[in-house]
Amino acid sequence: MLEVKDLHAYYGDSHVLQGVSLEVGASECVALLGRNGAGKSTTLKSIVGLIPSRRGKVVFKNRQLDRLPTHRVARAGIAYVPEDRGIFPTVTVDEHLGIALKAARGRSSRRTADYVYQLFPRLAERRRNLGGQLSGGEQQMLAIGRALVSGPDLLILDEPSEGLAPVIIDSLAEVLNAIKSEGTPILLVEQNYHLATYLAHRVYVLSQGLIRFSGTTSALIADETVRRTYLSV
Amino acid sequence: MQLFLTQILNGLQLSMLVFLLAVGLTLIFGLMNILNLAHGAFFTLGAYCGVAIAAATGSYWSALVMGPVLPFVVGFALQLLVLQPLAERGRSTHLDLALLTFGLLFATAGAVEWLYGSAFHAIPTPALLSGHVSLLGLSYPAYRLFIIGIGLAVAVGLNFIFDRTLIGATLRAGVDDRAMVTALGVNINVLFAVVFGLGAALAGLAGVVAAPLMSVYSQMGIAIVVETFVVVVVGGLGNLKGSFYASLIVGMTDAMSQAYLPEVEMFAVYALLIGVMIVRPQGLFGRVGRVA
Ligand SMILES: Nc1ncnc2c1ncn2[C@@H]1O[C@H](COP(=O)(O)OP(=O)(O)OP(=O)(O)O)[C@@H](O)[C@H]1O
Ligand SMILES: [Mg+2]
Repeated sequence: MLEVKDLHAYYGDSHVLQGVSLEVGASECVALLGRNGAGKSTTLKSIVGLIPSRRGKVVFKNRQLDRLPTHRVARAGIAYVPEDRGIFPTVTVDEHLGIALKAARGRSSRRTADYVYQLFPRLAERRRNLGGQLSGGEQQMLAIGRALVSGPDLLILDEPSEGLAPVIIDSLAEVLNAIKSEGTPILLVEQNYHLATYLAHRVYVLSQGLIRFSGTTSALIADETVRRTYLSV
Repeated sequence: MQLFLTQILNGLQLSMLVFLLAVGLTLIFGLMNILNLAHGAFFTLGAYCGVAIAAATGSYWSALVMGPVLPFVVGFALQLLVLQPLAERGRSTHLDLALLTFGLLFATAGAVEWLYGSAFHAIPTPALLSGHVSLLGLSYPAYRLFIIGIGLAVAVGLNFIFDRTLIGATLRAGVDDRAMVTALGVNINVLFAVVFGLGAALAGLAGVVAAPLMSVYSQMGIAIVVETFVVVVVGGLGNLKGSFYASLIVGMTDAMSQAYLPEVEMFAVYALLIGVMIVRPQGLFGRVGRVA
């Protein structure tokens, strides 16, 4: 489905990704783990084309994406939820979904706003509120809902649990589990080790811009050295 | 009292003309972060297109409708093919783009002078609006009331688009977080170029609308660009409603000082600008944190 090969990325002179390769198969949930500053967010941004100086190969559904501008990557079926959630403070909940739906008008798999409101009933109550008026949990629901409404062929999530209360993380885990069971492939970056191992089929561990481990989730759980060295869990 | 009322109406009329110019400028700045000093060139371009169309067809109304077309096309192309690629490569700073557009402003004046000479032109006031209307005990030129009407209609229309439509929501989103809008699959460069073109078209419309009142000459856009910038700064950069209120303030200041303190007329608008910059550098209607 998604194949990333030898990805390099730079911020000015600093060489942040030094040849990252990873794959996400059909209906697969893959987690990318690593400490603060490892380059996880940079990897995701490079895949969707938000890092100007990047090099390497990104192939998705047999199409090469690494030269495309971000809006073409999105139209190829990749939905992205950034670390800061990317909620627009001056735009209502309804309008967030409307913008995403309109941009996805060419896609046969696209869903409706009602699909999102059924998934997150809380958002339905807030549909006329501005993004800036939502709580952190509601913003995360909206960010995920906005990504799902296009009916993506791959969902990329950057630390969805960050800054959320434990109860909200639990309900988020259930929603993500349901999305996974529906067969939508997910590439997940998480600092929350338990959430990541609960959801992921396979795991990559990143440190200083290089993949240090790749294997099934149970292989990671069994490998104490990797966990200690790169994840401190 | 008569003078006061007349000046209020004159101030309103001037405000609406300035608003037509300022609204495009403020949107372009707020969305694209480009200080477009060439904005005055679209005013000139619209006025000359209007003069040419009115001369060819004999109809003010054709000039009004078709005059803004060329400014739209030129504005759209300028943004999409020149300014956007330069800004994207990251090597052009604010100052580079400001200087480039400043050059375009003078180049347009030069090109117009080369084509049309430095003579003054005008479009005759359309017969329908050449009379006077009695209003509040005054006899006021109908054409000036028409300008006030156009300005208000544009303000209401833009406000509706910006606040109530999906395109407006996409533009607000673009101001909030441009990268995220592209990550949703929106080709924001084209959308922004359309907005740039519309801003240019409104400046062109102002040029046509002003032509029966003011002289049409090659430097007209340079003269008005300063006043327009005062409005944009006073209203808060990128603030649509702010630019409307600031247009009223600037237009009224100008009209009132002209009538009651003619010796400070040249100075009054700049004093206003300096005062605002000192007290509220984000503009009277700008949000804190939106200072670019
Ligand atoms: N905009 C930027 N400019 C310069 N350096 C940056 C920028 N963004 C990130 N970096 C640096 O690049 C490296 C990788 O950052 P990245 O955000 O990809 O890490 P991460 O793994 O997502 O970390 P976290 O868990 O804290 O989100 C870090 O050293 C960071 O300081
Ligand atoms: Mg990160």
